[in-house]
Amino acid sequence: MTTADYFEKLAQAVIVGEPEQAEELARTALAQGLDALECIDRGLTVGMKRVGELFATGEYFLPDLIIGADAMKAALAVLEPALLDNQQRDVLGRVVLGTVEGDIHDIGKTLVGTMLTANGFEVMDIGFDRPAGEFVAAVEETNATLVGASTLLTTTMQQQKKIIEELTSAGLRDQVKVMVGGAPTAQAWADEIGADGYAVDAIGAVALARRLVGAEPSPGIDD
Amino acid sequence: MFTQTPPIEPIAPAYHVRILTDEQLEQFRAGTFQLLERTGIQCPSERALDIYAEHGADVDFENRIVRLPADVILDALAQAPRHYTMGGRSEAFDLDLSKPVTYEATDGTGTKTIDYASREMRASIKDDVAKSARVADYLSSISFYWPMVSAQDRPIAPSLHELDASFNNTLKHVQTPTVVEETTARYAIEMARVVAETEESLRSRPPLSLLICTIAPLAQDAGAMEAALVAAEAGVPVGFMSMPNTGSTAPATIAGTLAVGDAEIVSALVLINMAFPGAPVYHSFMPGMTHPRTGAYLAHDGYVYAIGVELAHMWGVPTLAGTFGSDAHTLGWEAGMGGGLTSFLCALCGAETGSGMGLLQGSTLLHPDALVLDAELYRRAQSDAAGLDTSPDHLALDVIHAVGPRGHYLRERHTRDFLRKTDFSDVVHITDEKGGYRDPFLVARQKTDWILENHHPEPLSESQQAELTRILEAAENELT
Repeated sequence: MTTADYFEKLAQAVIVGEPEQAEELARTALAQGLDALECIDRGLTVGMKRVGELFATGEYFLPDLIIGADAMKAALAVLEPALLDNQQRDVLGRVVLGTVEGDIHDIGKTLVGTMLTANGFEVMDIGFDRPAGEFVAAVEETNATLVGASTLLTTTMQQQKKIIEELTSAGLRDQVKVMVGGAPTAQAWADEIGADGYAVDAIGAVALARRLVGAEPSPGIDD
Repeated sequence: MFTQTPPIEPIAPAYHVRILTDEQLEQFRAGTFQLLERTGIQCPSERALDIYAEHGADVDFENRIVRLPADVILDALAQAPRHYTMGGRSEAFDLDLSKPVTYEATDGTGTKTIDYASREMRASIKDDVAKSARVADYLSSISFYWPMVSAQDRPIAPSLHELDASFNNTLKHVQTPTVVEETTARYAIEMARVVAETEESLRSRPPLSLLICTIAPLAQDAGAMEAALVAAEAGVPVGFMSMPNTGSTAPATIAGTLAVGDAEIVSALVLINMAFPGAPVYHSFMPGMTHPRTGAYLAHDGYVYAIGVELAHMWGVPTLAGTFGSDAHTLGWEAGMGGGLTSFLCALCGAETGSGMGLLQGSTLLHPDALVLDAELYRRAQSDAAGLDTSPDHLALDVIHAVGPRGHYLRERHTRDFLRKTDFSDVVHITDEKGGYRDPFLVARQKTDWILENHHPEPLSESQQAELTRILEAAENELT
């Protein structure tokens, strides 16, 4: 296989959603002496971009995106440790993501995390039923630039406000943009509590995150 | 270049309901026997009166009243086939009435059209029939086609022009409710013979069927009955639709309305099978309700039409059920009321065929987008009737085990595969750029426009087209 073949096969493993195959290809590529960063940029990223395009045209559904992202993550787990000291994978931003305290709903949050990962963000998913302090601690630990807080209950909405208040108290509010989402929330709620944005679903969350980090518009996501 | 016509997708119910008990059905049977023997039916056709008299009916020629003893009725109906095939242009579009499915048709025959391009209301024309036939040809929910509006720009033989536009623009079976006198019927049969290509095919898979209305209460139309006899002689299926109006042309009770309507239909079915034993016929009960203040014709609730299905089967013939149709003046909530539900109920009662999709204002107004929207209601009825697949793949116990508690299924290949197999609507729940859903009316309009721009069914052969034109010209010359 030529170098170009490896890149093409890595891309294809992401497009068709084959995590095991992607991981195996990544190992073989490294064993053959290929550059890890090139495998990411010319293989995995190209594949994920194609997955996004197929989703935008209606051909792919959410599971296709998630399985594609899983394939990418499986290969990244092999390739990232092999990056040279002076190499760094391009990420659009680092996101701390979680469901607020008192709320155990996490499928929406998980979906947002997967979509953000698939679209070039590095996501630290802190899980569900997480107190505001854990969001703050995660921002400090990761030096994140975005926070995503999800809630499905009217009784736990106030926790989103509390996260913003605690980020402010910790002196981190200027460092991060805060996104809120979940069934009881809306743009008006985001405005009321001083969040930087609201998205109705995972696709909207990606568009919002891209806008908040000043990324170039992406077809299918930002249109 | 032509485009492929998608396959038809009839409703295939996995379970059934009964509305009337056996005792109630027997009450209606006895009621029809009593009405036809005691009260009789008015029949102005000399030819029909002679046929009735020759086969044991008590005919009052002076007053043109026919009275039918029960044994005469039963003898004639025993000849009528329970099942037969109504043909499409190719066998893929045949309607096999022995199958446990319900085939649906468009509504007809309106007189007004919201123009496909200008969106202004005007009198209907032949081109509207052609366009709506192409839309119906594309939609899998439509199994056969009624000319949806009248070709009013063709004042001589409009019903034949409607057939011409229909045969030229759909591969599906065509059923006409506007061929209602003998001469026109002869030309219509000639046109059907051209489409069928052979006499044998005309009889075994007739591409045309006729629908004849009786007159409530308890009367027949001379021309229409003679048209029916022409069709039956050629082996073309003919159905009889009674439309008694509860409170005006029928008693102000549902049961009384059913009694009047059923007697009308049975009297006509009997005539056809007296004249041509074994002729394919069908029973169609489509009553209305009199508005108590305006006297206007309103649609009944769905169960009334479904009972019509049970009456047809009681007599041993197939049915054409009234499954859609709306009194609404425009698209919207009222237009969506009942259509899918009535279709669902009639299918569960075992209706072989049904009609009524795509018109508003009591079957008088063709709205360009109504057919696509009714097809969505049909999809719901079809899905609701389909039952449930509980095979291991569908129960998915292994997948549930693999995901375990508190996991999710979005990253499972099983999810991906089955979501891809799911028949999602292309009209409702279409996402917009703001994360919401698009207005289904606008999506339906776009879909209709797309069909008209892109779907061009396989044309008839040039010789068939020329022959249809010749028949039309001959008819116009004779009927001028």
